[in-house]
Amino acid sequence: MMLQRSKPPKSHRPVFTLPTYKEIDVGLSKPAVLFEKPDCETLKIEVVFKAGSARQAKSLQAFFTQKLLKEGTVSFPDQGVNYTTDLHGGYLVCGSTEDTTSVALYALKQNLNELLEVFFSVLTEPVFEQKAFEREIDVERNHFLVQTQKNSYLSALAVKAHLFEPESLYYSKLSVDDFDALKREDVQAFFSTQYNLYEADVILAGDVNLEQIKNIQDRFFKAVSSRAFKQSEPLKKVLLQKPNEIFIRKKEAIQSSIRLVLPCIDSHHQDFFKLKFAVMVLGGYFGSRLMANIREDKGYTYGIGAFVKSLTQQSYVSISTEVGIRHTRDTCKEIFYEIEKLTQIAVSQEELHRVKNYYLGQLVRNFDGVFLHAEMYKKCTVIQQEFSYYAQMYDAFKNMTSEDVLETSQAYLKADKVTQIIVGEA
Amino acid sequence: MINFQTHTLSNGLRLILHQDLSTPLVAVNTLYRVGAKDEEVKRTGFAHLFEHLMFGGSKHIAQFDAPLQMASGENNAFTNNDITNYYITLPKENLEIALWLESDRMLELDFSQKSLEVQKNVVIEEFKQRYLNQPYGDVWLKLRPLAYKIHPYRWPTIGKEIQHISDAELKDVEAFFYTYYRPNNAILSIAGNIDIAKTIDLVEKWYSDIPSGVPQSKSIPPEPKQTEKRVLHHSADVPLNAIYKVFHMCSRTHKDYHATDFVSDVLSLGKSSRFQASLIREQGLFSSIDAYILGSDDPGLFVVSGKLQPGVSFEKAEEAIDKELDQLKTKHIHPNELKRVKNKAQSSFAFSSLELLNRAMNLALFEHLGDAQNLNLELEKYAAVQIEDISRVAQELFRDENSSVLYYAKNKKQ
Repeated sequence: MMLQRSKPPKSHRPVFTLPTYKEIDVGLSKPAVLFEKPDCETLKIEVVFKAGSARQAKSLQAFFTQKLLKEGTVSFPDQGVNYTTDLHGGYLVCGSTEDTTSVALYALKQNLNELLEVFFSVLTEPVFEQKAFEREIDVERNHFLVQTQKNSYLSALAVKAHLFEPESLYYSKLSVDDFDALKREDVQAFFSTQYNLYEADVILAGDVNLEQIKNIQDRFFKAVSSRAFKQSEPLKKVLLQKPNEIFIRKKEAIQSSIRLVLPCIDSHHQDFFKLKFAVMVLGGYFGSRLMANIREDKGYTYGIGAFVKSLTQQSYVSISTEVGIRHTRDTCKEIFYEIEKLTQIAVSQEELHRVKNYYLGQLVRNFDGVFLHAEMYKKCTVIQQEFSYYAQMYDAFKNMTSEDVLETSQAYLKADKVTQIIVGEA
Repeated sequence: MINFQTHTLSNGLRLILHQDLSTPLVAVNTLYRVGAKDEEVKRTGFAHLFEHLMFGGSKHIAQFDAPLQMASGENNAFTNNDITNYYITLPKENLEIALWLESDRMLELDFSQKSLEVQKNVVIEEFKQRYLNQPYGDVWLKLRPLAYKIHPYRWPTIGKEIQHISDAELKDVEAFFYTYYRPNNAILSIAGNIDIAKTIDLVEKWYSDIPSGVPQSKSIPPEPKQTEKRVLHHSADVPLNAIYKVFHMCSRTHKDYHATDFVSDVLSLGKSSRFQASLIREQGLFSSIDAYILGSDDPGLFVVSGKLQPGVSFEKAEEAIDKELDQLKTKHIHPNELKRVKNKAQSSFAFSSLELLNRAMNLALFEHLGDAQNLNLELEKYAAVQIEDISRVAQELFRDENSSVLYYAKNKKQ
């Protein structure tokens, strides 16, 4: 039989099954969760504190606190943490966002015990030595100087400074002076007041035997009883600035960095999944409206994307791209045109199904294996959602209609609410 | 251990199959054995531009991406100096869609003028975004021609200059396709929740009628042995002075590759590495400094790159680097240093192999390098490296006459 190359073979919509996990009491306010994969040689353990930059009194406080965790503890002074972790082939990864700070250990099962020793030392007894503090400030200040030469970095910084009011939660306007203003006492204070282990989330993934679980439990019990934790204070309020057009001229720029931001509903709102879907149609994947128009039709850019940024207290739609300077204005015009179009013309059935299937496939890809399960669990915990959030998301996407996209775009993608930031030339 | 089976089609297409029933997905990786090193000197950047054109539609399928998205799939591609690699992940039920799409663009591309014009612009913007509109973005545009004088590794994948991309014509596209994008110049690797026998049948169904091409045996001139140190001074609007010192090293398949990799790890992998301890923390000479290798089909480069602390001269910085490199040549490393890099290699291999797509890509890559089975010998090869190998390799690498140095200075006015 002649091969039919013009017609696609049959395809099926992927089925999503929410993975299961075990709960383990480790003496904290919530049980630890374990995504188990027997017979794999690796294990990840992550502790997520509600100690993001939203809780800092001074710029960079949250960032440098996590940065210095590995630079010396009581039991592993100087470079002891790094030496021991490296020696046993472990990876100790710390990071902070607006809402959280997380400390994660990636280990080969065979070296777990040695690495747990270091991990718990980092969680409970960092010393924030003055010399290490000065060195890290210096390294990061230099890194900041390099970063601020990039228009894309400047435009990302500008989002926080122009979306939120100066006294608001999440407002930030970083400058090189902030590196000099930070003191060692600031990071010590941030650690002792904000790293509340009792309220933290603990997420494990991989292969771990009963003896190792007992070991982990004992260490958490000991850590949490070693000091008293004050309940976290409520966060400040979010105050939004009026929509604005910001233009930061960079002479001799070759490309402009463009960011459009639009405050929106959060994940607890009944229309949230619909909005996420509409933003996907607009700019959330390679075949999106923005990519099709601005990259694939006009060739103005290497890439353009849109997504919903979810913070615990405020979400916003963000659209970003880098374009040749002579296309700056045209690109902005085309972005608004595409937003407008979504609010006026219903998506075709073909496009609706394409986005739906793609998005459902992405959900399945995001859950391929226990380490990704753990990652997704963390993501929903941060925005204060249950794990079943993803099952709801799957159902919501599956049931989307073109009318949903149209109505959601009309309700939430309002061009006059957009703040536009351009760094470069226009 | 990554289990796999191989099968070769009569048109020369090599197939590698790896079964993992724990995943709901399949990864389909197509490696074409063509990269920037196969380009003509006046047509650089072409292999990468061509990669973009592979998404512009094929003989029977107007658009590549849309049907794949409809089948819940995701895809991308990359080009380097040696290969061009295309990959798809999608739900296992839809494997055949990936084979339908990939086989049609292997059969015949839709050579469209519009697609060529648009993708030239896109690639030019990529050139600007990655190489020109970034501090230090043009380093490899300068370093490669300093280190290589004859070998086509002397230009980066993006191309020597934007003009070469603008000049590309449709007839070049067609010629390139029929020279390099033939089944006998490709390796197809499929990993995931598959039935091996059925998958072989499906591959036969979609690929067996694609004609072979003329086998490619283009001889690439080897880089002559370097006989004296090369230096280049350059200045730009950057915030910190930077130094880039590169040495010629062995190829990816050479027996010393793993020891060479460890030399770079001893120097700069992790905070406990020598560069971090000595050059950053103790002497405070650098704001950041790294050592890494460019493992490639033909002899590659060992790279040391560092950003200098303000007030530190290039002479002092280079002297300090040289001193560290000399120590590796003259004194054996501590057994714990070797233990550390071996443990790190083992765990990084384990974590990287968790990802299905990595397994598919690596199987194809090792097949390209000679034999997919070698992927399973990697850890043994790393484990076999001895302390003496580190000094011996360091002695071969770190010779003045084997080095090229780029002094990247910040402009005075800043």
